[in-house]
Amino acid sequence: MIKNTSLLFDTYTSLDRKIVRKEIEFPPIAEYRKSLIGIFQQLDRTDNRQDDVAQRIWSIISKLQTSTASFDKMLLDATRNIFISKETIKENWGYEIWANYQRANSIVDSLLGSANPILDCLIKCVTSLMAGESSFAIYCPKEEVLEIKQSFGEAGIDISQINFLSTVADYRKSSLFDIIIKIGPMRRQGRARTADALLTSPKCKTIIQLIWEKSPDESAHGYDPIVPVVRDEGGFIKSKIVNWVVETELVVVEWSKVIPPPTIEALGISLSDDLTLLSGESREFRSAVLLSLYDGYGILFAPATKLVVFNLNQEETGASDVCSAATIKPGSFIAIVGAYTVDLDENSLVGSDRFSIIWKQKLVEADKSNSSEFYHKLQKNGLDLWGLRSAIKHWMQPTSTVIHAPQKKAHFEILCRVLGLTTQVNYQNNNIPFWRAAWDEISISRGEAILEGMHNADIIESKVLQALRNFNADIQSEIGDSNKYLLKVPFDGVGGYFPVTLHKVLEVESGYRAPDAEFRKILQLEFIQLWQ
Amino acid sequence: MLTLDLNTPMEISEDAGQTWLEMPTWVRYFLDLGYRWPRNQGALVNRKTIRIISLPNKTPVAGLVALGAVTADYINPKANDKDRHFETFFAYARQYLIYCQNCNLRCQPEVRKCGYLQEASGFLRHKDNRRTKWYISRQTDFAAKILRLTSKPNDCGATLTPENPEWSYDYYVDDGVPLHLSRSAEKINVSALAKIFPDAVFCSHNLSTSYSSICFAGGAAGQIVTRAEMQSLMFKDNTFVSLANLLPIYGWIDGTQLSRLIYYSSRGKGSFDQISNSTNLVIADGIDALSAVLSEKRFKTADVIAVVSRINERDKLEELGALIENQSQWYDSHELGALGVPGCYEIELRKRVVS
Repeated sequence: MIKNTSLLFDTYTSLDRKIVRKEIEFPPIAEYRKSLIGIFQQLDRTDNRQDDVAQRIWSIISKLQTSTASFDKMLLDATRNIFISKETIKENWGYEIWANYQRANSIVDSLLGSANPILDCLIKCVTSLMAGESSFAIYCPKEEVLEIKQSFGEAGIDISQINFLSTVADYRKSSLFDIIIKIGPMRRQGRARTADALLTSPKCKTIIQLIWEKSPDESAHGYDPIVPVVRDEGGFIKSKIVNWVVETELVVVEWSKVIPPPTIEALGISLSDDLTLLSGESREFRSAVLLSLYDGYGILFAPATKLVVFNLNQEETGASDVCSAATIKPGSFIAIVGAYTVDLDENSLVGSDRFSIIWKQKLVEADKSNSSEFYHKLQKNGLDLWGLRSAIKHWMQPTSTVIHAPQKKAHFEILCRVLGLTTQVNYQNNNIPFWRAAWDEISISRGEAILEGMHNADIIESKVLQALRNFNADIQSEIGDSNKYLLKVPFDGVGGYFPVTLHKVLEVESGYRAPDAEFRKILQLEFIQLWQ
Repeated sequence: MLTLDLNTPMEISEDAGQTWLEMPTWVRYFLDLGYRWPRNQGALVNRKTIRIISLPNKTPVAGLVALGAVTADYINPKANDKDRHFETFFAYARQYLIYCQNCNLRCQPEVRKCGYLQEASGFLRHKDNRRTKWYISRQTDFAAKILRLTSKPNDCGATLTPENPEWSYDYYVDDGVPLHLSRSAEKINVSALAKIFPDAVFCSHNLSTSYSSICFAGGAAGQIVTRAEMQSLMFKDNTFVSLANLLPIYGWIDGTQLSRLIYYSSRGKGSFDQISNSTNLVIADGIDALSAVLSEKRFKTADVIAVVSRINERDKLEELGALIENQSQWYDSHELGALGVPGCYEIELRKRVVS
């Protein structure tokens, strides 16, 4: 604990303090980060199996942002081991991921034996501070302390007088310094986790931050419920008792070796805030592949999403397989798995349209009797879609790929209300409003049910694959020219099964970028065009 | 203990006496904050106030505020528990006879849901001779306010019916704190306080009498750690004394059995070091203590001065944020700013008055 509280209070008599962000521009590291982001953006994070790969990428970037270790030690094995089966990356994950992976490894190879510029910068900084009279401490992850001490020893720096801070407890116990050297960005979590008090309750006049270029601090860092700090665009971090002036110094480190060019899709990647992007908190859109189905519908997947695919006119083993969304060929059928169900529970079967028959019938009647008044009523109640008339014509069509219905739940609720469908119905042993039960039916038809239970993804996938192989001859003979085929895949031997719908893929189109929420849903192509 | 010398300036040490400096203004500020705090506002005019002081580090500031408030009580002739001492016997007798005597859950108040914090063993002790006991009798008449005691347990032995409240001054409930000092004990020594608060005129009677209107709520680390922190801050002129030795928490001051500052531990579900029903000011040391104090029914009308450090884990800071946010339904928030001490920021939550 600080033993001279008076000194601490006195430091607040002058508000001004300074943060010097030394941003290191080092082309191979910038391009390496882009390659990893290129892989990450292709992954399907709703799939637990792919989440492991995402975690490994996050871990590499997180370490890179806060470490002074040599690239040999830090990046070589970690990059190689992003994927377990390295030989089949192209086949399993698609070209884009493979190309980014190759590029990242190639950059790491070229970096072997090179010094880490963050360490160089740190040594220069410490040497100059030790020559003067300024007191200082180094704020870095605990795991880095030993590494830094070793490097300092090799550089002939006396480590006995150097204070290291890594945790809130360390910071609480520490005394006052002139300067705190912070390695990496200031964030709330992970290796870059930094005590909020470093900003809200400073124990130094200056913070020198050693960071890679475009590695911003987390905007939510520096929290205090009583005296919050505010970041303004003019380079100030202010609270009512502290005032940080932020200065950025670019440290350009030359690199003469050739860096392999990125793929065409990765050309658009620019560095902004890797850790926020990788943590999934970013609202940025992600790469997507559109699989166009029939009747003007389609479905978006992350390029690496694994799908069970069925191909016509092939022998038992070649007919069904698991492919990445990006590698699916037009003309194949994709298997969309519905929620687990039992025979008594027909409501959750993909293709069930018990309620849709009712509301569609009402909709047809309302449209016929007095369409103008009906439209006016819908608009008045909040269903004010552009092109409402053509939308209603579309909703009246019988179920095909999906149950044609409004895209938004709120709009569907209004539609049912205006149609007078306000009764309660028995659905899955519960009395619920009609519109809720009917909306559930619509969601299931859109494949949304599979969003919920991916726990047994591996098992379900292998069961579906096995079932398609077993029933190959039947499916081949029955499917004919149709675009959709329904089957039940038994699961637990006690009557439970997964309803599976095979949907014919008409086209595969890459180059979409969409928010997470729009993935894995069968939606109107008109709506999906928004994300092109 | 300190010898009074008005000519030497008071000094303090934050490292248990290794280095000394003249008493700084921030120490004076926090002592005065407690000393001048308007008391009993919460109960009298329903204007409960919660002052939260944000500090740049963990320091024994809560102890200084408490010392100021306790000193204000020394000079107030009415600041003792004499008036309600006899009443506490009735409350104790009621608890014993109605709940504890025949309770088969010894002692799990949270299971029994009796509302009490600890078991009443059912007898009174004499301040000068702990072996002299009087047992609560079933013949006690609560409606008529007649306390009956017996010299032996289970309504056996001689019976006593004290009519004069003054009789009660020499007795205290088992596991409680005596109202008055025993004959062999020393009065609370306030010579150091006289130096710290030169304008204070101490009421001699209060130095030998317990009082229970102020509570010190310690953090989750426990009373031993809190006491050690308070021991590291020392006052000196001719000789020296620690802050802990000036805080009249039961058992903290050597040579006296009195208590003029109740200790509330925020560990677990919260516990008091003695029976408390009349607290009008709580000094909370840290976020855990503030959180526990705000959910304690016995502090419903008491003002709260909370001292919190900004150097805390993120989740603790968020907990504090949520705590303050939750109060907004009953309290108006006022920013007092950093006027007191540089680096310290104060806000005050004042109970909204329904017009």
